[in-house]
Amino acid sequence: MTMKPILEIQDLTIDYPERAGVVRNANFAVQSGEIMAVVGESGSGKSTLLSAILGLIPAGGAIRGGKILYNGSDLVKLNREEVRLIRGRKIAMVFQNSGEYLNPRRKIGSQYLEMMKYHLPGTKREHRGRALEMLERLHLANPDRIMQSYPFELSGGMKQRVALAIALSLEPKLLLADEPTSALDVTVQAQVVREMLQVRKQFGMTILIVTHNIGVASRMADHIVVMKNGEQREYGTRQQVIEHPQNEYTRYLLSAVPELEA
Amino acid sequence: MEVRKTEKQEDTEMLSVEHVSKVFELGHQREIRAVEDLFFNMCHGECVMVVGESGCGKSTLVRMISGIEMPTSGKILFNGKNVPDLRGEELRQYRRQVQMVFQDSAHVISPRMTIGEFLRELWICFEHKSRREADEVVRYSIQRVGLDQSYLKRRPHQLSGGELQRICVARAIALHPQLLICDEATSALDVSVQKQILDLIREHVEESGCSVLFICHDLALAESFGDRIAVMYRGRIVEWLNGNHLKREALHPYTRLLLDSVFSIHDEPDKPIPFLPEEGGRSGLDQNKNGRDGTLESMGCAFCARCEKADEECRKKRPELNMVSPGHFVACLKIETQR
Repeated sequence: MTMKPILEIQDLTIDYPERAGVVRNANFAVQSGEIMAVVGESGSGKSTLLSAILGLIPAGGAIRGGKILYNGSDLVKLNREEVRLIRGRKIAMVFQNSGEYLNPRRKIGSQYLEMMKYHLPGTKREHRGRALEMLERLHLANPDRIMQSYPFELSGGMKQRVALAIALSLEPKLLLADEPTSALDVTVQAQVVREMLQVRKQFGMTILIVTHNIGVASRMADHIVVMKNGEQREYGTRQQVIEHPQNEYTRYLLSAVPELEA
Repeated sequence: MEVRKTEKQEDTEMLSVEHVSKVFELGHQREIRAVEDLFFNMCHGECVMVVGESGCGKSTLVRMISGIEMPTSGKILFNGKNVPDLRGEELRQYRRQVQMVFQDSAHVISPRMTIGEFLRELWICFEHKSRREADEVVRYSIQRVGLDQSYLKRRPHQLSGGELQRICVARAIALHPQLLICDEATSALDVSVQKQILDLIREHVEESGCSVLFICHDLALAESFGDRIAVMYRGRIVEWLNGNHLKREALHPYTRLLLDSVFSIHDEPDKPIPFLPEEGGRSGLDQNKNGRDGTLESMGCAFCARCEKADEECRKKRPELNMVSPGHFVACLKIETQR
């Protein structure tokens, strides 16, 4: 693991028209190859923070101050064309309800290949081969069949894996995951987490995951950021945050998680 | 949880569900068997948790108990009376005795009602109180759930999810029902808010001795809250457990799978996650959540497709619930032979 940060958030402050300071003075760095988790409750600004990285803040919202440095260059200052080149190819994103990001009237294959055609050189046949391989790598049984399915034919866990496959097929350096497992059943959630950990190993990818599930964060992450009401309450290694939380709120949050008796 | 039982009612059966099935017809000769031949009973003052994943039929089960759905076959006896047969005044009184809290409270409260109107409604309906009298009680019930009176004038969209859930709990417990049903009542909430709602319900149970039937998918929550836990898979209960030491006691492979899938914050980060094959519908695609034609697979154990221990016998014979120790029942052929 190199010690050069791939992503640095510096004093980032984001405003919505109806609410100033959705994110206030966020400050952290993601090292290349690590998994960083941002945890917090609803309304803590964690998703807004993640959207800001790819310039996807909902209409009306704006970055008031601060920098988002990707490999040293400030993403906030880039123009549309420059952002376009980074989106998908350098930084990819997986959303909570991936099913809704897939067009319900088109088959998975056509959407998958469209994305590849847009970003990658090569023929359709090559793209298809690559797509199938990626689906298989994510342990989706029968990739051929999946390419020919409509989104409604797949279960939630499968759609999430398809979304992950699409995001990964451009081999981005950084994967942003916004609550990727929150809508899933526990067994399926475990599988998606498993795939993501494997992906990290196989591609040496950096992952920034936003979740409210502290169990998931603690299993996946090397570093954890705890957010509350737009403020960054705690930032440290997994060990520090989970085992020796310094902040009052972190402790409260940890104590509220129901745990199985040993 | 310690549930104080009123002396008279101790250990008397309140609810018993016998041979209940529910089939939803999809047309084109397709159907979903949401609940199959289910047995279930509850005593006064008990807190039963039903755990399972989406599509396992747990919501259908409680919707039948609360009278929202009619069972296709079987009996649901509440204090000795069959719920689907209740009519008129009896049914009205039953609805008073059995109150429900849903997952998505924002959709439960009419957006055009104020919270005060929402809470007042049931007093006028069930107790024939005047508006003024009702307002008195409502002020008391909103206090009980830790909100102040300014909330009575607000409308649902002005409240957060946790506050709405409090309002729904306030309404459900206001008339002191014998049975409180919570259908994933805390699943959409943050953990800290979840804790507050659970404390609220727990407090009420300790005060009034009412029974709680709680549906959730979080095993840790089930363990911390319930006296007994039922694990459902594909419309059947596969294991009944006493509500503690789940990790030690659980025997059914499905329960074990659920337990292994829970990420605890105290786990080692490099603890391996077991690989689970996709649930094999036809062609490996899940056509609908518990998509089966109902005929082909209905012979064997529902879990055999994903079970490591499954063999020929499991595919042919349907396991029944067998007792392994007092209060602990398992429906698995392999476990029976082991003991």
